[in-house]
Amino acid sequence: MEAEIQKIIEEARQSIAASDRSSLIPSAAKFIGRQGSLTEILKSLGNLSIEERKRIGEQANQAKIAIEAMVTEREQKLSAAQQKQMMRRDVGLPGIPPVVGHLSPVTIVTRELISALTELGFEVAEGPEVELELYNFDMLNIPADHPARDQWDTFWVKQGKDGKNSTLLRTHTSPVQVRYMLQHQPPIRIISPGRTFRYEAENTSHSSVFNQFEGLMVDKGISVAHMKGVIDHFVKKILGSEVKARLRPSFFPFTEPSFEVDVWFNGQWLELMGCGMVHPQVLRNVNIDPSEYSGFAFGVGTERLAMLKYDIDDIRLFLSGDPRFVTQF
Amino acid sequence: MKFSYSWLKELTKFKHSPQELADLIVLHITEVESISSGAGSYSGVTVAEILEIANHPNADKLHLVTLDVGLGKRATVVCGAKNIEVGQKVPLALVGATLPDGELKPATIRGVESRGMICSAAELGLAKEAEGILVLPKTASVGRPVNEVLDAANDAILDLKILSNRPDYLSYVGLSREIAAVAGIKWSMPLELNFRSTGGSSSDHIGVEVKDEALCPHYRAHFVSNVEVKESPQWLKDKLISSGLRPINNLVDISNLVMLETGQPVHIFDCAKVSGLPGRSPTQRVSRLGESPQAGGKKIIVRRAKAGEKILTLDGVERDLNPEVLLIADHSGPIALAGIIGGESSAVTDLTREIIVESANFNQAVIRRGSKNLGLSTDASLRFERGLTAYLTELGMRRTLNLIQQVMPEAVIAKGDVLIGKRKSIAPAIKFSTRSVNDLLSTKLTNAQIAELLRKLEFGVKYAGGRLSVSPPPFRGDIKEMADVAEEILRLYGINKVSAEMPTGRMLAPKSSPHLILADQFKDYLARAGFTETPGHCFIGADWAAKLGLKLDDELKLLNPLNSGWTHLSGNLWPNLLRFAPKFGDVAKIFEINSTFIKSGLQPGRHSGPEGGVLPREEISLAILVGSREVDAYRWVRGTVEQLLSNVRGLKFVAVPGSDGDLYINTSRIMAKEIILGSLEELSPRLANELDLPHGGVWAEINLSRLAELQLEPLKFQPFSRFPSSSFDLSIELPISTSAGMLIGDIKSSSPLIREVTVFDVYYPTDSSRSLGLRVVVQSDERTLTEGEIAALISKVTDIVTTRHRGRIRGSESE
Repeated sequence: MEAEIQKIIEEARQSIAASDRSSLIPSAAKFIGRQGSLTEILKSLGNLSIEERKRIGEQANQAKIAIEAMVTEREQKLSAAQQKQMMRRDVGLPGIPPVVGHLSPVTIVTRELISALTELGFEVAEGPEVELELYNFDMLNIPADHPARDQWDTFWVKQGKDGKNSTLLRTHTSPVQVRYMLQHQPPIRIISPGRTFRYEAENTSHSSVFNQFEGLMVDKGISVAHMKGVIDHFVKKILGSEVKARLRPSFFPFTEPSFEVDVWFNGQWLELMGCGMVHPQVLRNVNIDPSEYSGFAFGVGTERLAMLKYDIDDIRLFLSGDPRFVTQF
Repeated sequence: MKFSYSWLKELTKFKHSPQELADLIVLHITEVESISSGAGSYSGVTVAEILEIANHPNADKLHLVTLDVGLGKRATVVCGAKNIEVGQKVPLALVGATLPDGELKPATIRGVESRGMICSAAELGLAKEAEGILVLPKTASVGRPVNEVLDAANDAILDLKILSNRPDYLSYVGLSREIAAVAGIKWSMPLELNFRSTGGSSSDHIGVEVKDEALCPHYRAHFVSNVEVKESPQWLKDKLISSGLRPINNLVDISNLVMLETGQPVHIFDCAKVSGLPGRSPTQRVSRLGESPQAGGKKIIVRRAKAGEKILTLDGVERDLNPEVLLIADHSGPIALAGIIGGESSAVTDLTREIIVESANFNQAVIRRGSKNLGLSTDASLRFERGLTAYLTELGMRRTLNLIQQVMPEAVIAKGDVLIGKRKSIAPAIKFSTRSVNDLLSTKLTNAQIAELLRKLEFGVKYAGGRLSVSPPPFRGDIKEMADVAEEILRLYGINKVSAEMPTGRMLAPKSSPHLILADQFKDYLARAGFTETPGHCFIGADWAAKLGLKLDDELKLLNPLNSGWTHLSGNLWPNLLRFAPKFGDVAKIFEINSTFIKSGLQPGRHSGPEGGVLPREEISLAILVGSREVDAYRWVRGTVEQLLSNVRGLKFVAVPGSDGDLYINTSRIMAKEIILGSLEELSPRLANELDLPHGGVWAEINLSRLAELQLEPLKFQPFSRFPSSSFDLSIELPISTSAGMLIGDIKSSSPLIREVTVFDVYYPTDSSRSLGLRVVVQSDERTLTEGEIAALISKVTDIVTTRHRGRIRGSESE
């Protein structure tokens, strides 16, 4: 028995010394586990005389304590070795980025714009992208045969017999305002984000397909000051609270007075968008009485805003499907 | 339009620097697109001194000229001019310099490379023609830009954006009046307009007939004889050059100058070339001085062109005409395109002795239509289409005659214009209350302040009965109502003096449309799931369609596409994703959400409104595409669609049988009960290969407009069992004809204790069989399942596999 205990201690010493983290507990269990060899000896003590039971029991318990100590010691040694190993990590290695997708910068900026204006009670309104000439031009006080139309080079879809039924790819989201005003009386507060089209050769600052974000407010007593207030609010929301905006004179057939908005950005005034007080003729066209109501409208190119915000120098990148571009946002 | 700073200064007498002037114009008048120094449209041309002239080795008339270009550098260029001499200071354009004809590129001339050019006045755009190179004054310093040396040296050129309602900004008089108003300078007409008439009456020589006064409300013609056509004096040439026009001859230059100064286009006909009345003696009425025996009975007719008529215009193009175009004609036919361009047949030449000066007003729409119709836009049409007022015809005529007398004192100017049209049209006064304009502008201006501002721009202002009565000046055709006047007031007062204020108003609950909410949610989900949004142009053309095996018959065609690749509007988004996929290399996971266009929809378009049927159907669509080396793209796409549509009731994927040669394979219709929501398809290896997608490609497209109309299952929390779950794996061999989807469905519905069945492995040991690894998770809400219960479930599932689906169990393991 005693020899057997000595043998177990010896075997345990070798086995534990040879084990790694995963085999340590199973190796120890071979000796001191529920069915371990030392445990078996302890279980069999009942068959011995009291004298022997006391002696062997004492030895077996000592052996158990010794093996447990070996396990603890081995554990500490392994931990120390592992820690030493782990501390060799080069903490300067770059991180492994999680694999996520990316939203288009147009989606991101459109969402920021929507949130900046819905918090002022503006509602998102929509309209078709293939639009009637009537809504895209005529109702907006842009008559055929007027040079104002040169501002909107147009993709035509169908030429109607009397002109009014002609269809085109909308050149701005302003027809959405016409449609909305035909169906609603003031107070009106809408925004119309959406895709628009211009028949023009593409270059770094022109794309034939792009997005616009327009706003319209019509109510009693709406003034130039209110227009400035709303524009200031969202320009600061998108480009930062330190950004200054200024207005300067311009011409749009559907607003009078009309303005261009410049922002002071990166040390210079940059043209951002157009705006103005809704032209009384446009209000009359949609059966709103201009002597009772007034309003303002503004429109910004979403890509243009994104280009300012993110320092993008070529508008064609937005629709390029180029992974080097789209995965940056 | 380009404006010369010094010319404006001469007219307005301001003290502003070019930059200060530009700032003033930007804030009160219109956008300044650029300020540049120097007159010519050249840059990078410097002063150089000729050091040496050698003969060209291969050409007698050419020389190799070596020049000092400054900073101790020399350059040798090929030059053919006769007037070169050693020691001359000359303008030298080296490679990279910009001349009116474009950027200078290196050239090899008779075997010798020349990296520069000694310029003539013509090459710099300073004259129409030039003999030899331009010799600069001896005092010019070598190496300096040439524009510092030339006369226009200290000038600056302001390029202004011309608003389409302000033709008066297309004139020096108009702009200088505006500048004076905003700079607070007193202004009066700066142009000399007087002239002496020494001839007979214009009407003795010419008659005018206007067929439709609506198209030509005002026509003035004036007869001048004894003119001599030659080069203009230098001051006149300089003025034109400073505004970007090339001098031609004194008469043409005068008419161009008048247009620049007053904004009124004037045209000069060679009287001898205008035909007289048919059947009448050409000397029916002889001018009193008798200098012009042929003159008399000349008749100008303003009418629409007839189909089939032709004219050779001054730009050397013969043009076919049609009734859209308004003509100036004589009895023999067209002599000019009214308001656009003159005709060659009646043009002034060196031999011209008698002229007819035309200063007329044409209907803006008719000029624009004609100009568009002919594809010809000119300085004249640009002004007329913006709506000039008839008032200007008199100003234009008087200034032209004044200049003719200045430039050629010997000319004999007849008395009186031949005038067709009402002498003056008085625009009605606009009446409004001071309060209404202050309310609109958020200003607190008094009547006196408003009157003071408006009078600077020559508006007439009266105050009576509590209302302002404002009369626009005769040169403004754009002022029609109070809003127009308000803009003038605010511009002058200062837009940026109005402080911002938030509007107050009734609270409104903004509505939002279901498909926009869906689109937003889907974009977020897809980005989290590793998909990247790649919007594209929504156009498609024959080439790409052919490559994808698509017909364009059902797509909406554009009347004026930008190019042959973008002739139609795409009815689907996936063809565009296939364009982008190859750029993503080993793993492409991309999507787009956008409108698609359906030419002939059975349902009315969602936006067609009262004009129903006129507009095509537009639907919001979602397309996702996966091409990957590492994963089973087909199951990845399907898994994504299943997740996106997890709250759709009765979602199912219905396989569409395919055949061997298909370009698109393994097609499934994505359906909500009986409603088709979209499609899931895979590229055939042949097509994938052609599209440069070595790992293949799988796409799904879902109609979000239709999805948004469905009643979706609201998300509810599912309580989970307190008892542990168990699972067992089955390795199954299944005939290829049996759908794994059906098998899994059957297993799931066989017992409420079966909570989840997932596929962890698929492979194909033979052509006719397939091995599946299935993991079945079982759990009860009431108790821990016993080993016996689990064994019973295993045998139940085994039975479903073997008897109902004719599969074979290759092994099982439970845990």
